Amino acid sequence: MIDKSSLNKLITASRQKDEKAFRLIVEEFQSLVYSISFRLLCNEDEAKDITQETFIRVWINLNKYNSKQKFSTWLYTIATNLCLDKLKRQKYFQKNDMSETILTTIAIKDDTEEKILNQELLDLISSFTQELTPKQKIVFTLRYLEELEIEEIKQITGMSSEKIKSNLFLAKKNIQNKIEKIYRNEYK
Amino acid sequence: MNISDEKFDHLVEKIKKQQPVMNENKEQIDHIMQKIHHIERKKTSFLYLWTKRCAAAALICLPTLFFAEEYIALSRSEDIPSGMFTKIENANQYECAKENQNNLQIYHCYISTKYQEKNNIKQLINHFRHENNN
Repeated sequence: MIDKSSLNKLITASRQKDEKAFRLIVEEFQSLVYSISFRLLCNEDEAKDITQETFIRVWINLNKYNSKQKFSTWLYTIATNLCLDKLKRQKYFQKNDMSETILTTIAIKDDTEEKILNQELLDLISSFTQELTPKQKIVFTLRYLEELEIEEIKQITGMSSEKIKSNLFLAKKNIQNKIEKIYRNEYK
Repeated sequence: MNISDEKFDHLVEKIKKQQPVMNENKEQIDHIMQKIHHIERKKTSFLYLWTKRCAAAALICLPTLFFAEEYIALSRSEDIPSGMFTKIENANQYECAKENQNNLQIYHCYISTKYQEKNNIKQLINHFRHENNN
């Protein structure tokens, strides 16, 4: 993990078009960008594309970065905006053809020790978040999965605290309904 | 906390624990850096191209402008002799200006004759030189 002063040095060097310094930034933050893109889009290839696009935008707009803001927050902003565009374009919030059997298996199995492959994780996330709107999905992912504070989510999404809280409430309610539905089916 | 909340938290924990793994991590970084390098190269060649275009345009325009300016200055100097723009407010000044202009014309005429004489002498010298050589 790079400390703040080293990161600032790398950013300054990258602003002067030092590609080696920028490579270190990419190495440091690639997993963060990939993780949020993967969780939002539920697609490995698209998450890779978004990761690539995010860092290209970072390189181009590095002079616009305000050093008062956390660098990771700025990265989250770029990545979530790109994901939001993609989600809106492809209408991800529309229902997918997920079979009930997959959902049941995922919900009942308590496999914390077991290593779930990307595809299983992808099924798990998409099965519970498929009915969420893109904005609900983003605030849910940022708050519950990335564990960010409301203030940071405000900076990333540009939404008000009230809007974030209402979206979170709706997202949670939607997911809880989904869980209930699966359990009811199981114990019928 | 009700059962729903518990199940929700359990699900969130489960997803959180499973960090998505990126395969070909290094290749992905290389690919990003390649793209960035390509963007930079394109930007440089774009700048180079425009610098070249500007230089070519300047090479054509500047001499044209220079000659045009010279031509305009020359044609103006032929019309009105320089140093003759005095503000005339009374009859005296007018007479004086007219006299100055006449003097200038006489001087111009004198210089032209001198120049012609000088040329004639030069031609004569050249002629003698030529004859001597033969």
